[in-house]
Amino acid sequence: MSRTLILGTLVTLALILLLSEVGRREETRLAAATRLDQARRIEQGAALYAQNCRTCHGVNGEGLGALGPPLHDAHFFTGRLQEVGWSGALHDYVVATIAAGRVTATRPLYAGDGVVVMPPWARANGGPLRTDQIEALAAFVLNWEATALGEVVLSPLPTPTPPVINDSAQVARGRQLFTEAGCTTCHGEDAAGVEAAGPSLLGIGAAASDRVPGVAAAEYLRASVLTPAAWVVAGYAQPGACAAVVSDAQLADLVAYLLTVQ
Amino acid sequence: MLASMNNTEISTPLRGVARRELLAWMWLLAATATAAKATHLTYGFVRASRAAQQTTSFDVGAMADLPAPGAAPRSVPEGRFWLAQTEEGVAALDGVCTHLDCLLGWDEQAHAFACPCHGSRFDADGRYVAGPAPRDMDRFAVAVVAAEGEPVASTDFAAGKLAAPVNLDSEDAAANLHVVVDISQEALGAPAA
Amino acid sequence: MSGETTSDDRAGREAHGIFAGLSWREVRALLRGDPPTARPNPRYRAHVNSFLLHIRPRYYPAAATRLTHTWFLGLLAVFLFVVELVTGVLLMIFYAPTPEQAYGSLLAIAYHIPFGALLRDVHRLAAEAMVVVVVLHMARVFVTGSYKGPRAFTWLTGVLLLLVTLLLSFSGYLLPWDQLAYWAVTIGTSMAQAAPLIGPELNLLLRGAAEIGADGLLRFYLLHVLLLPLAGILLLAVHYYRVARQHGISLPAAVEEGNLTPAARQAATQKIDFLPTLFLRELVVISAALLALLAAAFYFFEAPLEQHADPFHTPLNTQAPWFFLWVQGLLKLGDKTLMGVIVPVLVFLLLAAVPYLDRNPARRWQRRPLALTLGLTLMIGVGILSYMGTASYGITLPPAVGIGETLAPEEGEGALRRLPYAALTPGSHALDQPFPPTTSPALQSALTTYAGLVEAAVTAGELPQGQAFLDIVERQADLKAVTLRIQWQPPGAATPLAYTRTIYLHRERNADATAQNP
Repeated sequence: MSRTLILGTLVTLALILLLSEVGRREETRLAAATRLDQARRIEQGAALYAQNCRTCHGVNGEGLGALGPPLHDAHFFTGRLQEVGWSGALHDYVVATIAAGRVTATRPLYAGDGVVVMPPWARANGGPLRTDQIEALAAFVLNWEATALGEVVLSPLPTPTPPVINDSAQVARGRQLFTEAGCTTCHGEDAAGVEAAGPSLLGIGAAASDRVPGVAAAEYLRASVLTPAAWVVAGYAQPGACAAVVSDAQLADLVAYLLTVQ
Repeated sequence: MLASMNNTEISTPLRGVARRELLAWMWLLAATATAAKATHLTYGFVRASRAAQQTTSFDVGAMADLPAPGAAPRSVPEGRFWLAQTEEGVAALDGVCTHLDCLLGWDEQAHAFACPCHGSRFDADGRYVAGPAPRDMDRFAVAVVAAEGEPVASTDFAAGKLAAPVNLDSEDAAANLHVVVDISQEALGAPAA
Repeated sequence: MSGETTSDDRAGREAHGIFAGLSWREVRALLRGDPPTARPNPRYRAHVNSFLLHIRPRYYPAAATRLTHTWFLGLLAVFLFVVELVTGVLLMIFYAPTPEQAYGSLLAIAYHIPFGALLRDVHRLAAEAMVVVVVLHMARVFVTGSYKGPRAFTWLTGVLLLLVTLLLSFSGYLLPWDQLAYWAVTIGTSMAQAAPLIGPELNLLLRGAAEIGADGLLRFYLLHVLLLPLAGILLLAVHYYRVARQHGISLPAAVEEGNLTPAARQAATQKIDFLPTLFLRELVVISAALLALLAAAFYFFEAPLEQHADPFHTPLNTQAPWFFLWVQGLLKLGDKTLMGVIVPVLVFLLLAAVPYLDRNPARRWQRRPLALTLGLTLMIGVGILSYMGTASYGITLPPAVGIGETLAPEEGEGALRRLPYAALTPGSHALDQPFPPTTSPALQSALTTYAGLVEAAVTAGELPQGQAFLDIVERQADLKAVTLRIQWQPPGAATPLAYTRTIYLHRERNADATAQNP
């Protein structure tokens, strides 16, 4: 029985040591866990941004023509709150804007298509995102502060590789739509261009990726169709109602065609 | 006890003992009936499901936006169904696998639906191809309506029409027609061959 | 000295209540290993006076207390149950059983509440250990033939306890409300729906609605924290009373049925008192088990947590909890009613009926070849079915998707996410080119793995003319985007096909790992 008592005492001592070690490490762990939590939130926000926000605000938050304002610039982090008269924190402003959307633009350039400027994203307002997803998006957007204010300089972006078009049927549909939607009026048959009316679009697929730094070809083309005033090439008139009523699927077909037209 | 008890027949007042016994059994019977009734009522409480206030009707857009016949079906994630143009017309395929309720994915390379849980496969029209699923993909009611809401074509599950037959002769007609899917009406798929 | 002990000194009176009627003198005698200080043995009276001691045995025969007879498995099972009760109640302080709050409350427990992560890891680890221990305990009782004779009903309560243990694990599985929880339980309740006659009603009872949502979570929570623990405690009470007070722990079969010399038999059946010997031995076992559990949870184990539950997307590689993999394996074989409901129910009925089906009165394993063969067959069968239940078996992914899922899985870590942030040099790495000299060894090793997977697919003809790239772009301060890009062109295709998967990696994503190993 002495053996039992000694063994029991030893095990209990080991328990005390273990619990002390647990207690000792806890503070560091909690600090690290807070950083980890924020890191994962930003990662989640990045994925959500690429899925939902990129098409209006640009891949790097630089804005996309008249579709959406830039989020990755100094003005957003230093002057935006004052501009709109928001007295709270930038984080709350971002969360509120994402959740509720924007019915009318606060700046004339981003007037949208007249229906809705920015759709609401919160589930409570009919959107697809949960509260934690909106928080993640806000964390991601706010993480642009360091680079927007020039405190951190990122490695230069690689030259985008030409996109691979998977669907020849899609390209064919886009070609048909190009004629039917009236694009040939200004851009000419086979997209060869019409003097002073609309530039040639031959080879635009490769050129589009270099037009605006950080904007991929597909996005540039998409923005140009939707808001033609975004980037007007010198020597051509302001485009009129260039954006015929096209649905999302039709727009994708059109862009696919434009990316490959030679 | 005493051996003599077995031999001597003591005439007991049978009526008194029998009545108590009978009363006891009657009480037990009544208690059982009460318990059964209480269980039945409690079960009614437990099994109740609060009415789900979900959207059941989805306007999925113009007819022109539907995938071409034979092309990859289009997913409508908020309704958990897929839109496809089959030989019989426009069909809304229930995206929940008929095996054990996982959500199907679309495998472009194999041009088929694939279930990530146990590997069931269905073709582009929702027909069973392989795996432990017991039947084809289920279908929801589809109605194709014109701009003002007049019905043009719809499914009719009672008559066995599982797709909305639509004749797309004129392009204008296609652009102005809208497809509305009602997920509160569902037709189960045919049993797997 | 008077034979009647009446706690005549003041110290004795005070010790009376705490020590269950034992005088202070008696307690000291216990600790010193002296014989009882009075007759009748006051140590036995303690078992009558005390509530906590009344269900414990007064003594056991020596052979029944050997480590190699019971391996303390029953004791460990009860210990783990108590650990679950304690950690469970503590976790309930912060857990909220609604779909909006459940996942967030778990993140708070893991990341922001002191010792929350440890509590959660212990709760999870002890739950899994409990399933293992309970199954081992059942196997031990089977092999030693201790279920025979009057102990048949004890075995039945044991099988019911096994069922309660498995259901406790299953109901707890849903509570984190992550992807794994949501979809594993969707599959489980769909299986219940497949039951003949009662299926749809059972499904409605469990889910509280047609699909799992707030009502389902609440019901599973109620089952997990109240109904099943209560059922477990009641069954345990009946089970243990029979073992400790009614029939006692069985003697080893060799003792009961073998030819022992009178001296050996005397040694085997000698009474070992609970107070103090067995009691102290139990304390040592429990302390050692607690030490092992805490150390394992603290140093090695991390309870998994996937992404937030998404009712609109089923992730790849959804898998049942390991103790139900055998059912998932069955389901891949055929009809869900037969394989998912009828076969498992039959297995349990068969287990419960073992003492009633077993006609062989012998307990020694040498005399029970049939029983042991059948038992072994069952274990091996469950093992094979469990293997078949794993995600990799029977489910083929398109080759490019499979490669993406291996390196950067939807749920879980994968090789790419484990790379140190500094090792991810921005740029586009083509796999068919030699690595630039600045590539870190960690990244090189990941690229080699990636290249190996692609080569295997190309050789197998799944990715004709396959080319693979890894693009790393610095998107924000401390955030990089890593994109897997695979291109291939099937013969006869006009254009090449492409598959891309992008993941985002933050510098601090492995912060706790680096903090623990600075």
